[in-house]
Amino acid sequence: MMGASPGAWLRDLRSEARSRFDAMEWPTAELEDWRRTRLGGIDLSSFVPEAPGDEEARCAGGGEPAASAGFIRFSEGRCAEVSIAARWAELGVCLSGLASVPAERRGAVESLLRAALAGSGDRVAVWHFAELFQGAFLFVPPGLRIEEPFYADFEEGGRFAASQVAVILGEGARATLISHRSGPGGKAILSDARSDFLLEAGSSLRLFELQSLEADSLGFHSVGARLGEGSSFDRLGVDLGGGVSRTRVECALAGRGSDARLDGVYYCGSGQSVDAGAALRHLAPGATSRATYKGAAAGGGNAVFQGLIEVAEGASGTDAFLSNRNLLLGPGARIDSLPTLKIGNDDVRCSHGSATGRLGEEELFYLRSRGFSAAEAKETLVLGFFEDILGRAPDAFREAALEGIRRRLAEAA
Amino acid sequence: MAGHLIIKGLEAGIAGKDILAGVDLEVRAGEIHALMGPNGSGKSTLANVLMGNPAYEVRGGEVLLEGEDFLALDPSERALRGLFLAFQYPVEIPGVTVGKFLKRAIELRSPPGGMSVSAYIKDLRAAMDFMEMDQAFINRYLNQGFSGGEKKRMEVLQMIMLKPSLAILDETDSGLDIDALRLVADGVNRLRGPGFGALVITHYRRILERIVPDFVHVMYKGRIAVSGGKELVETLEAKGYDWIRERYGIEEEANEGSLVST
Repeated sequence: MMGASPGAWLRDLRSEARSRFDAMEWPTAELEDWRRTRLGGIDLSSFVPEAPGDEEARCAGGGEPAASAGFIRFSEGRCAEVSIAARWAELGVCLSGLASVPAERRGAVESLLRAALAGSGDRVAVWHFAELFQGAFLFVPPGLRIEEPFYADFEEGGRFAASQVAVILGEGARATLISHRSGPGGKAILSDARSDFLLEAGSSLRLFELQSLEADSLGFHSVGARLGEGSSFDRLGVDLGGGVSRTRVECALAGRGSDARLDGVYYCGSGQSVDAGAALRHLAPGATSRATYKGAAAGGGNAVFQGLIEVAEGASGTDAFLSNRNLLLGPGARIDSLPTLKIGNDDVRCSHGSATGRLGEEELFYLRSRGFSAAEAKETLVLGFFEDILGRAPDAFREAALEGIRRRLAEAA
Repeated sequence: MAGHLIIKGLEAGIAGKDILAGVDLEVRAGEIHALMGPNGSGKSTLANVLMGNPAYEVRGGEVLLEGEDFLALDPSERALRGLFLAFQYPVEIPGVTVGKFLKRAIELRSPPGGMSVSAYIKDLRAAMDFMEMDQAFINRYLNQGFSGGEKKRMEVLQMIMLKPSLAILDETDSGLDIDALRLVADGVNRLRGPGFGALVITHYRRILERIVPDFVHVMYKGRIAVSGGKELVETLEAKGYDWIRERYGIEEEANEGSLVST
């Protein structure tokens, strides 16, 4: 095994996924989980990768990163740059391309991704693994608490992109990761991305993921997190792009007393469709979770939010809350909110709430009476609607998300 | 910016209901006018129509500011021409802080690139001190979770910061304790001068003891029924609106068979 090339495990993973992929059919509306993803007449098989991926390409080393713990950047499926602060590298922190994971970490990342593949139940999800050549891997050793963020940027290209983020936090470790996935304009691509997280006992991850693909692209994203005892997973996901955008967050609260916070923002322009899903699975006693999703749809935009809190039989003392708020911005805008509770235990506190409405005429008039144009009044209220979620993100992430929403609002006007 | 306002024969309503039935009123630059009258007489409708609230429909008449057709303008343009409305019921604006909101409102009134952020912050802090407001309000979402009195103070704070040439205060004094009332009056008096006029809509004499008006008007059934000097406030106090009804309303009431709601 030690003698094998650094990417051999990845090749094995791909070929296993490829055989599964070949034996599967494309998902259709018959499949419950795909029923509300508006694939319409899109021919998924037309999105073949233009060139075979290259796992051997080494990341070029950047200089010492400024104001961050480290960053890694991918351009059109290749690792363009990677850099990590020397003081963290010396303490055993690893930030690398997937194919360059050092030997001592390969077993851990391989089992993380094998578990993710095993849990992938449809052809699109398996496809990601069949084409997985590159991705960002972050490992933080036990006990290390890092306050400055790590950055992972994916500039998607080609026809098909299978980007991956994989993070493993050792016991008691703490880290922040800010990830941005964007696409080229004027060219339809399919981005079939995954993010996987393994949080050992007492560790804590703050995660900010922004997807801003262009409206002519398809964006699929599966997020999987497994939380150890007393660990804390705090994710803010912003989905702004794609003609069809589909996100599934699977959060397994597997350790006693673990804590998950899932916040989500989605914006759906005219002719776009967004299918946002979040599942919080309480498997152990005494875990807490809070999910807050907010979405807006322009006239002719169509979105659905599907949220699930599931409490396993033994998960006594569960405390879970799921909230979904939506804003309809024009005629023909539609957002369906489908929160679900599945409770297998009596000793729990679980609830959900959802509301969908329009911008208030009085609020619009108030701002206009202070000199805001009608368009600016609308923009101010929409951005304000998201502020309670975006306001807790680091400035650069928040600004990028707000700028993306602003641009899409201007396009709709 | 001067604020010479002329309203001629203004007719307006909401949702198929006629409310203003020919309002005539002239406010010259620098004058303070009080507008009184029973509930339902059309005072708030007049305020909203002047500001351009799209919920109301103008059915006749005209409004000129400095000779320009004011009704043709968008509400934001009216605001930038110097009109300010202190709302009777200010709405909450979630996710937008007081500091950010006011900064933008002032920026909209400044020449491009001509706004000094440090001067703005200094002015805002001074205005908040004047209004006896905690500086922590700067970082709070506009009006969200504010008490009734705090919302009214916030309206006057905005007025001080935006320096309109003509302000309409729509029952800003209603529901205020004596200290808040004093602050509202101080706010108006601070701006009072040749470049600032106001239309103060109120039910109460107490605010007009602090903001002494140049003219007083009583609205009744969608019209200005009687106008006079500040002594009119005393007459109303002594005789009540019944006096107006008896003098101006009997004929119409007999015809319609109903009283204006009070």
